Amino acid sequence: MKKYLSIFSITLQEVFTYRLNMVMWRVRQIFVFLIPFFIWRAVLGGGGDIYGYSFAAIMTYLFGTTILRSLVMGSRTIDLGWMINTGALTIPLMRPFNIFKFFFIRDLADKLFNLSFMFIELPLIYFVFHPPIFLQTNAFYLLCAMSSILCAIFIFFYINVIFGSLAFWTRDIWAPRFLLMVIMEFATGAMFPLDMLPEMWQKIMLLTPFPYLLYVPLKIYLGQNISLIPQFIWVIFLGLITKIIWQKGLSRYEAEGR
Amino acid sequence: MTYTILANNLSKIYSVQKKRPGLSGSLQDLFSPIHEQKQAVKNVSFVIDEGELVGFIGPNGAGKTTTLKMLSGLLYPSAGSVRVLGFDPWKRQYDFLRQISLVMGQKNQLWWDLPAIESFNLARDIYDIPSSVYKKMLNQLVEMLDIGDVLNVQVRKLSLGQRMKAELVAALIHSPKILFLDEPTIGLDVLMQQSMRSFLKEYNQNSTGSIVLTSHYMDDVKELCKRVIIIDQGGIIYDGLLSDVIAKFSQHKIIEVITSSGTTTHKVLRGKVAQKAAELLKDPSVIDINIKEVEIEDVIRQVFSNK
Repeated sequence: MKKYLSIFSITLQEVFTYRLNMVMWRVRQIFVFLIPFFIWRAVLGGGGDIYGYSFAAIMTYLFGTTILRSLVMGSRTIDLGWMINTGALTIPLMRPFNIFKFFFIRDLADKLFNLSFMFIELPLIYFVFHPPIFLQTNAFYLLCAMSSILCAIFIFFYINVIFGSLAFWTRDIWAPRFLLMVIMEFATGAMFPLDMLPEMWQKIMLLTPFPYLLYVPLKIYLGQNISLIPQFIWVIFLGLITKIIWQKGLSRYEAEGR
Repeated sequence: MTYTILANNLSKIYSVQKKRPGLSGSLQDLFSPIHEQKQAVKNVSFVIDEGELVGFIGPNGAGKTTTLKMLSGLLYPSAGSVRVLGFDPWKRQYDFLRQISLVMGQKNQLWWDLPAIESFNLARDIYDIPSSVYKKMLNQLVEMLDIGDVLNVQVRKLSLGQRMKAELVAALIHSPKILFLDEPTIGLDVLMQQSMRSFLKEYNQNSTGSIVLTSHYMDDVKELCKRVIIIDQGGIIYDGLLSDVIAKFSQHKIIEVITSSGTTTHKVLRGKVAQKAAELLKDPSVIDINIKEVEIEDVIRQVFSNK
């Protein structure tokens, strides 16, 4: 246990050494909120609603995804593909610890870092823009939401490991990563609530793991959907796939760069 | 008797994509890449005992590093078997990983953005080293390597030599039973190379652990290793005492003749040395003669170029 705590702490120390990066990343996070905010204000600011969403409802949704985003999508595992390509993976591989736990702990450190900054940024956003906020008081929904977020964290972790592992087979990891980022930008529901889509498309989306990262946990928090089962299935399924791909990939690892 | 390392017919084949020449070749490669099987190591067998310091020598691309990677469990052998400390390295069990250490001269194991001491502290927790043992070991290594003044400096700001020393501290802090060193002196200046060698020598004398090192600097090997394994084109061409290499591969000795006008050298077959020396001594202008072995560098260069 102590070793994982130590990894947690050293990861945070590492983040803090890049002060400018740290600040810029936070600025980016604020923009990520501001861009859809201004778009939706242009569309709905004058009143009325679209697909059942008023401006207030949309703002609640956006505010929610902004928080969830830093919790679910904060990650250091994004480096995995690079580590495989450059041979940097060699170092954690030669240490007596579980490599998945190593990456997961580093993710958690990143999330904690994000979360602590959110406490400064969110009040700021709140006082400037006054988005209406819905605070869930139902303990059951809150519990479900927490489980759902935990599942989302695992799903995102597995997706990252799987995409990173592509590097065992090919050098070309940037294009797949960008593709993934673009898909995630809308398929997770970060830009707009997925129930704005035609029913057919919603159903198709829900067959992929992406909506379970932001959209579904938020819906569960809002008490509009309380089925955790599809998420559980994705966690187990992706967990298994990840293990298989990892084992297969590792036997191809060449520890390059000498 | 249990051996520290037991390698039996180890082989490793890499699949390498071959690029056709030119732009049109690159386009063709897009649609039908050619893959080539490259045998990096073939049927390598050897045994290493506890406490031994063995040097793998050979030219670049001979398969030294590949062999080392198979021994440490990084690479999956294409054929053959290997046991290290009784473990199958590839399985990377914690009990195995806790007892070995791998240092690669061109790979940084320390946390780049943080002072070296943070990496050492992390190693303490990862390897579960009791505090008192850790302190003692750290002090000892830091003193031997003389890097006490840079422990709190960001690793990225260290010179290559300082960094390599810090790498060694990180690698040895858990007192591994085997230290794998891949080109430990590469890129270092002559003085720093010397201090690395002195450290390794001293460390090896004071510890029971084995050291397996690869190098293409003969000076490393000459000073550190009694036993060498010479590897070329993936195969072992010599495994034995360094002192026997010359006798085995060179049929010649060198006779140096010193006269008042200068020094001349003669390369003479071993069996004819006495006869030739007597002959040379007949010349009244000769002041002195020396009979020497051929330099080991020359022998090994000759061995590799004949292949």
